[in-house]
Amino acid sequence: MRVLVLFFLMLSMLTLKYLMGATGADPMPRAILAFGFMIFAGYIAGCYVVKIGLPSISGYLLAGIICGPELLNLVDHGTVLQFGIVEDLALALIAFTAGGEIKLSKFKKCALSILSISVLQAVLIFAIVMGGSYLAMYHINSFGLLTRDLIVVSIMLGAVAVACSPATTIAVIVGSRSKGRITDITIGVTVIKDVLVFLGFTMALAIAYAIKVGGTLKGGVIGEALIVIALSLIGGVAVSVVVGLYLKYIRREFVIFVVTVSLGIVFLSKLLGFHYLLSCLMAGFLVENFTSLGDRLVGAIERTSMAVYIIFFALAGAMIDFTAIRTMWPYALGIVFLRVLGTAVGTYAGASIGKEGRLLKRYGWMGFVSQAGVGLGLVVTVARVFPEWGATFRTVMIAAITINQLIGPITLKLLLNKASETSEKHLEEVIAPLVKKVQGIS
Amino acid sequence: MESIIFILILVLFAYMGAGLVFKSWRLPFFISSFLHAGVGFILMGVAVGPLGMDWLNSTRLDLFIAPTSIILSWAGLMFGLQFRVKSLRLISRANFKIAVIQSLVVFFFCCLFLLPLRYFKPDLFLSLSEELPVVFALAAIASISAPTAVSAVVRRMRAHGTTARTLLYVSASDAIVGISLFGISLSFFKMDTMVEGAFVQGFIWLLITIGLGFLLGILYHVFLKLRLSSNERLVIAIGIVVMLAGAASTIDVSPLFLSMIVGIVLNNFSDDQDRLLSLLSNAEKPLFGMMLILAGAYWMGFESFCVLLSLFFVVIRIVAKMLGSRVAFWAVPLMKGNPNLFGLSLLEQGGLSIAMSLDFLNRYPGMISQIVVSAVVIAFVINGVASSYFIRLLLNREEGIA
Repeated sequence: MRVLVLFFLMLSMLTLKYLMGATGADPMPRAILAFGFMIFAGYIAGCYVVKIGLPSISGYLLAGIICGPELLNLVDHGTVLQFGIVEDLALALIAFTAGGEIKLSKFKKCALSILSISVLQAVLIFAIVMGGSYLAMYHINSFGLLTRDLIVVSIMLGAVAVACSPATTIAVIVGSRSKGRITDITIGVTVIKDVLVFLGFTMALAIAYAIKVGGTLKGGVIGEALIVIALSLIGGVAVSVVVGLYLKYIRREFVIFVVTVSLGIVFLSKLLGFHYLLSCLMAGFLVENFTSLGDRLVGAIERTSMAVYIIFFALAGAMIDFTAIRTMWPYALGIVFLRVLGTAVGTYAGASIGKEGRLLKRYGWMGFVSQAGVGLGLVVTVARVFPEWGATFRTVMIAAITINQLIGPITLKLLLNKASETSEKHLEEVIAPLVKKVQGIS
Repeated sequence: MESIIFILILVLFAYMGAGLVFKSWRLPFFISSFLHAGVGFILMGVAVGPLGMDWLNSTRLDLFIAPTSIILSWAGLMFGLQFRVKSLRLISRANFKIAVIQSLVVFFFCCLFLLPLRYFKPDLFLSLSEELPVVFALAAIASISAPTAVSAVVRRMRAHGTTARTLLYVSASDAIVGISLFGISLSFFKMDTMVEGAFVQGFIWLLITIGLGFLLGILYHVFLKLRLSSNERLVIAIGIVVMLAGAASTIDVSPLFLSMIVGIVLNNFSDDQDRLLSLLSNAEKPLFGMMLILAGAYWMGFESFCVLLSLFFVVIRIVAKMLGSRVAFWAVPLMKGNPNLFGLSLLEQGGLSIAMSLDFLNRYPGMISQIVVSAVVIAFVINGVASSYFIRLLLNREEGIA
């Protein structure tokens, strides 16, 4: 029934577009219309993919892909760009929720595992992707690069591969209402890796640039990166203080407050060159753990999460560049494979140090496949700094990130199901037998 | 982005400040009615607009066309969701008749007196076909009243009599006539069809708007009929508001009118729309504040024509409201008291009038629309402050409450 309604909504939308055809030069009304339709399509696709065991965000992405320029072309790239502010707001709210998901009391218990997996994953993904891609390019070298350039390219491939997607991780976890040790470790590692990636990427960029120009590494670049990360985190602390005071003394107009604060962080971060994702993560973490009513605020934001995720991931789906996949899929698949290998080895090693169970050691990597906005941002930076091969690099990496973005949520949901930490699995494996038992007794 | 953040900060501080003031002091009647009417937001808009600090200059204001459409669609849906035929049957039909008659009289009276508008300022070179939408829009805006001040005064004076109830009901329900007249006018005088055969074209556009409203209303109803969690209902609500704004803007009809039709359809097809209404009302404060600030920013200042038109608009609206009430109570003799005072008690225009003027501005961008917004803003301020006084006077006289 819902699909039928959606079909009629689409028909009415196309009729309106046809009616407008002769008169409308302004693309904004069509953009708003398409955006509204995409919300419905995302919601319905999300409902249906859950029925076949996939995470709802795969449905949101799918809706975006279907409405996007590759298929129905209801929304084009220009339209998506018009909603940049909505996307930023959604991402800020997701990051805030992600920070809020880190509850100190729970994370203290698995701190060693989180730290060891984060660090080892970052190091090993970087090493394996860099080494593997260097060897592959050295032997194939279909791009005709010099050895020095090959080293630079592989360093940058390794650095970008470390990035993961906190937004996807949180969306899948919140969407499937997962709870448990593996869920906590996955969130913790994703968040810590998010901090590490900014630092690691800046260092890698400085090294790669030094190799390229044949100069020495400037310590200032790494220092600058550290300052930016520190300032982003301090920004998060400042925001949490403001939120804390607000919750203590004012406690009203939460909707305006949350939206204003989130957009304010995004705006200030862009103005001052901070990473607003880090600021929001930090703010969410501090508000949840160190303010009296913070958990209520984070909970309230979480209750609006579905709308935020649909908007964010449907827009992301519409932006997916399939041309890149079509042209560069063999290279992209190679990078995806190397990255998964690095993640798997890193997770195994880290989980062993943390004395975790077999499940996490063997299948833990499945929680860290997804990549999205952060990775894309880094790719753009690389393409700008190294214009000679930047365009090809960008196409290959966009293709790889797209593949990761599509399979990442699915593998994470599989992991959480395997660990029986999603609400449906919990219901199926713990509650249902109990109910049967009780029924048998009675 | 900075403009939106800036407005949101203003709205946040305004509500925080107002909350603090109302909590700490019992304000004099005049000041509290001034704040309740939302005049503070308008003044803020003027202060940050082109006439003040020029923070919201015309380039930045242009960026608000899309958000304004969404706000209007939200307002229309909210309004439509409050109209249920079943409920109308429960309440005295006489009250509804008074509301409709009063509203129609005001509309036609204002139309009549605003028709010579183009002779007020010949250098605008308005043709009759350009002038008519302005006249009808202003008349439709004049015909509506708002229940905010009425309910505030009634609550404060603890009035429970027939007059108080009739006043509450009429002020809450006459807007349906106003918005309908407004939507019909905008459909009839669509800018791109203002050529030969405009009547037929306009009529078709009106049918399209109403038909689309019904169709979308029924389609959305199917969604809302399902068992939904609050999270899902929020998604649907956002989807409806955004899609309606897009649909109305795409075919260039009033989002306020289209959404009102959808709201009415939704509300009358299902028994469970209160949840949707309460979800939408969560966004009331920020959106209402944003709308008033934007309207304030569009105010054109003390330009002689603008002031003249505003004052003229205020005066004919006052006369029209008194006349409308007289005719309504003559047709439906529900109250024996003073119908003139009853009419004056309906002066408050409320946020809907501002929404209608912004809707008009979006459909007919240009100088004349800004003049309309300015006139409505001035009338909003004057009537917002004056109406509380008249409501108190009326309740004082009719129900003997001091």
